[in-house]
Amino acid sequence: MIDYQTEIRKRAAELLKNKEVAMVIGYGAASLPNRTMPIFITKPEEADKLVFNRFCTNNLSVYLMRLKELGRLAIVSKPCDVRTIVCLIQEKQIERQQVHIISFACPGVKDGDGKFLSFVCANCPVTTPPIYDSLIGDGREVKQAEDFIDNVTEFFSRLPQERWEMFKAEIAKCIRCYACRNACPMCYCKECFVERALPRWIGEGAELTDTMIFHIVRAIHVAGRCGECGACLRACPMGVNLGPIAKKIQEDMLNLFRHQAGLDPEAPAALSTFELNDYNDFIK
Amino acid sequence: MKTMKEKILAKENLAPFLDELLKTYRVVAPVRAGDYSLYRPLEHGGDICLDYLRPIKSAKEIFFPQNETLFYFNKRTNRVVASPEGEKTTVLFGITPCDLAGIIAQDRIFSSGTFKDSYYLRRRSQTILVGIACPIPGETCFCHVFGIDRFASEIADLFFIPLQNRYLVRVNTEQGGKLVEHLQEATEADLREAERLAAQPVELKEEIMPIEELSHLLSEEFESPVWDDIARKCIGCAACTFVCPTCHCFDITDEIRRDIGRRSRTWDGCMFPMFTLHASGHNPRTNATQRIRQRILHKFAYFKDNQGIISCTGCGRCVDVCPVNVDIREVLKYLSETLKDASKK
Amino acid sequence: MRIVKITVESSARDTRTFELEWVNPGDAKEFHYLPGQFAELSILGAGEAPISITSSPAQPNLQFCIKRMGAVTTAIHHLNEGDIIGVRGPYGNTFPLDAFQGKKVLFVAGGIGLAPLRSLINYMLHETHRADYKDISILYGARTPGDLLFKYDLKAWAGRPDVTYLETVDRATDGYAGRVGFVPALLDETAPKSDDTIAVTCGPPIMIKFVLKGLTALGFPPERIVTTLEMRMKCGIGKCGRCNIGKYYVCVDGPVFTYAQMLKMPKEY
Repeated sequence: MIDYQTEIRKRAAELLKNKEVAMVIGYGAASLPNRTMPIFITKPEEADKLVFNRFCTNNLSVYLMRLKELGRLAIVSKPCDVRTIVCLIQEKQIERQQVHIISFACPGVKDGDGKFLSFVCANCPVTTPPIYDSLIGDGREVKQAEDFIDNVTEFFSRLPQERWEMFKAEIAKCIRCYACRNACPMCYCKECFVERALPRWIGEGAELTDTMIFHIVRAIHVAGRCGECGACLRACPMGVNLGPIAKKIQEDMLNLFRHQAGLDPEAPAALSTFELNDYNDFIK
Repeated sequence: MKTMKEKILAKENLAPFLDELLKTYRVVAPVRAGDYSLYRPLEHGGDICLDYLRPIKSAKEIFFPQNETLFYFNKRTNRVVASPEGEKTTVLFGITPCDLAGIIAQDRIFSSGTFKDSYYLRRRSQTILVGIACPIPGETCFCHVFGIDRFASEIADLFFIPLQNRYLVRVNTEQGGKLVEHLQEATEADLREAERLAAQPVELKEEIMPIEELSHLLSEEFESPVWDDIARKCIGCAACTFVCPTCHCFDITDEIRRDIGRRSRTWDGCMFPMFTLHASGHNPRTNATQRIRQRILHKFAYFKDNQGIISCTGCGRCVDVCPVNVDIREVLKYLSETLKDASKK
Repeated sequence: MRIVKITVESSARDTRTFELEWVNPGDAKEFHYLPGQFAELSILGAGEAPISITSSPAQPNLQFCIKRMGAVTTAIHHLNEGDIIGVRGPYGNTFPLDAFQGKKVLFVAGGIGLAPLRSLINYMLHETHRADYKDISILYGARTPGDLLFKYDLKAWAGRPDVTYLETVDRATDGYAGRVGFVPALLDETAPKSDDTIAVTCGPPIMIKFVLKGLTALGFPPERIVTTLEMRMKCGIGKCGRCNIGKYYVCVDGPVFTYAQMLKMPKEY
């Protein structure tokens, strides 16, 4: 049984010593219990600051866009995080050779008091990294001991009126801080639609209908691009849980367009291509 | 702490006491909302929830709502109508000491200078403040750094201190006194129990930083590379800003549909890149380093220069909610160490 | 206020001067301003914009020179004579008129930066005040001849024996016979003497940067260089925090600052 943390530190130190990368983005000890935080190291001797445990929840890919000008970057990534890196490559936001991906087969991470597997991980469809440069461990899928929770089927089995009330109740918690959007590596637009004044798509402030539009539009903007990493849900200070809806959209992408985000860097981005046999029953 | 008098309210009588207030006043108090509590208007006294250390959002939204209509208008007739006045007087009940300190800071900015914020001041004057003591600070709390007393408050009309099975109520103003006229007077024993509680040593999570000294040093280190180090992981959301009791920046926007519309103000934050964007496209603060430097300097240096107090109450909410664990306590410690080294050279 | 006159200032038609009269004449008594101040212009449905007052207090009507940039200024540009604009103010501080008494004054302006200075220039040139100030020199430049604003005033100033007026454009167009070059270059060439003179400058940030260098090289101490800063403003009354720079609020402590004050500010404007 290898010690993942030691291996990651070794690898990071090597990469920096050989100057293969300018910086390693990884997880470090946080100031709070049951948390880790993003750290950025540039010297081999700093590698000991890297940690690896069941609380490595952040998706660090979000930093690639702003740091890519520093040079080649190594990044510690869970398989879901790797999916978002693949999406960034597909969308030509970064080049494959710009990132050195350090990944592993993931048993899932834990939130909160650490007693249970994060519900985000409980129905994770991609537990081994689709691509990588350094593999920690043998890469074999790790069997999850905890129960598989299919919160999407459960949510969508309810009646529409009940779903609408649940949706409204979640939206009512939102304070429009945009932590969800900013934590998402796929939300890299220089100007987000909510910031546009000419025309003003939605108002500022937490008006319920405006907030609904923000979340619905954001979910659609990441359709087919979402790595299902849960960074958005974890970033939210108010505990807004739109997970079932976000997941459903990705399931729809799979069912309707045979597309799962972030698996093949050579593949074209889903919503910018079409195939002749695409689902088009909605055209009457 | 000189007070007018002290009263006693049995804990089991708290809900009926609030029900009685509800007959005359609008009562806002911490209410359970999922895994946390929020300051919300009560419908029944029993709705109150004091199980959580502090509500996840501060009390500032009672006086400075996230979205507030300034006036309505009809564009065709150029008619402008002020938004209607608030109804009843509000009793804001169960305000934590950190939030009371936050109200002091908000009072300063909204009532200082030539122009006073009438919207804020109107709500403020219509509200009776009832604070509650905080016997055991939380994991992320550091209010003691700012000299905040967890057992008393200079601006609360009433202040409740939880004793064994009752509250000691300190009456600080006449308008507060009216609410508790009918309550029993506290005895010497009650007062002594409260004093003992306040004197209990509590293990403080943070050693006291010399915050005044730091405030002075900060402004001089504008060009220091420490800001880059701190800003590297910040993702630029406004979670910290919106839950903060002292942050007060806002935007003013118009909404219109055909001819009818309104002008309102909404919370904004200096952490958003668009905050300082000029219409010409020029932006003085283009990166996270500049913005986080502004936020910290504004709260810990500039506000002190202008208003005489530091714009932070040590409530720890920002530490709780930050998605990437930007911990202002660590930041302040790091800054004070780095700046002290630099000034020694 | 009501628009009584719209003057299109630039050949690109993107800069216009709006002259406004009070709908309710009694309001004029409440609105006392001095050069340097600004007002918040309000278009119901679009929002507000802080615009410096370009008229001089001696005039009965208010004038604002507005460049079409964003939502509010675009809405203003769609208005016609007779339309109503909301005005609140005056806000901000004023040019330090006391400091100018008995001194020579050098104006260095670029593009629409001339608008706030124009208020001060016309104020000083007014017959009741002219004697308070000594020589007045104006150096003004714009990107092209079509972007030179207030051409009617430029002509009047150039025609006065007690004013030295020098003009330049970054790029000439057909028919332009004047000097070509950037405003800071014009300043360096002209090399005005700094003794007993106060310099006042306003223009795009890049121009101000070089003009400040140029003025310093000519021997102007920071206390005798005055400028008007522009930061993104919203409320205009020091509450919303947008224009906060260091411990200053540009809408309350400014927009007029001396270079000496700016040197004490954090470098973010």
